[in-house]
Amino acid sequence: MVDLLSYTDSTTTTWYSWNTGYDAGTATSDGTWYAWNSNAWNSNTGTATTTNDVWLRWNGQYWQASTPQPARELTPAELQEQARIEREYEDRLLREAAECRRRAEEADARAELLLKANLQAEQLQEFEKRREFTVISQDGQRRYRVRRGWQHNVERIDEAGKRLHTLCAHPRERVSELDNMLVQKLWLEHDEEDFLQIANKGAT
Amino acid sequence: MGEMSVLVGPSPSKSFQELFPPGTVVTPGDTKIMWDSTKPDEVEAAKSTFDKLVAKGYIAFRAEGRSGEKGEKIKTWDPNAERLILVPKIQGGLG
Repeated sequence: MVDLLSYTDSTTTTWYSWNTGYDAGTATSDGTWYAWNSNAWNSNTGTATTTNDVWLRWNGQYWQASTPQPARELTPAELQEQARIEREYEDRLLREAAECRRRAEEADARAELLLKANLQAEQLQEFEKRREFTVISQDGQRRYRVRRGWQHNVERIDEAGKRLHTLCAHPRERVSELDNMLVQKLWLEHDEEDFLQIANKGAT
Repeated sequence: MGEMSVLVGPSPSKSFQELFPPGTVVTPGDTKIMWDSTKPDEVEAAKSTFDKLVAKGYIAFRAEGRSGEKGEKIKTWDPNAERLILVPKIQGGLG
């Protein structure tokens, strides 16, 4: 093996050296090319063969296979079977979508019960009226409005309820939006500093 | 009686379901685990699930009062807690 790092010959020499196995002695680049392709044409000294010929020979097996075949017409039985498979596939997709919706609705119903069980009386009143509630920081200095949603549904608000900006932080798992509201409420009430560090601040 | 509500994502994996006491039906939304504080085996099963979920990155809140007037974030099992809520960690959303 040639030590490439310490090899001081010119690039061309290196090229010839690499190929000595294929083209002994006074090989030229062309000679090497011919040597490599000796299987592909009759003589590696021949000059009649063009590059295109080599290309065609290399790819002969693929070339043959790629020759377009006329499409066969399906029999009525095959067409019927194809249609049945397509119908079954569509039915399965519809069933799966309906099952997803049913599970999401059940999850939402349970999430609403859990959220309501953990809202304070005033928050519960707000939620029943407007599907949102206010969270006041533990030191009483900051107010937040938590609306139904997944992203940017928490708003920092002033005393009058005017939005100052939105905040975006939510569970890593895609839980129900109502569960998301509960998580945001718990975080804001019990670890506001952490919530504010994690949340991205949005528009006013 | 103690109650632990665990918020579960839309497709709980088999390995996630195995964190819960045997026989618990783990479904998307919240899954509840109840225990009788006078029955050590029930308490132990609930504690074991709590520990496994916290080790997986879940965050635990202890709720006090009938409607969440009080509470705190906790890191270790509290045998006296009546209501616990375990939630997945939060992350920053779109900026």
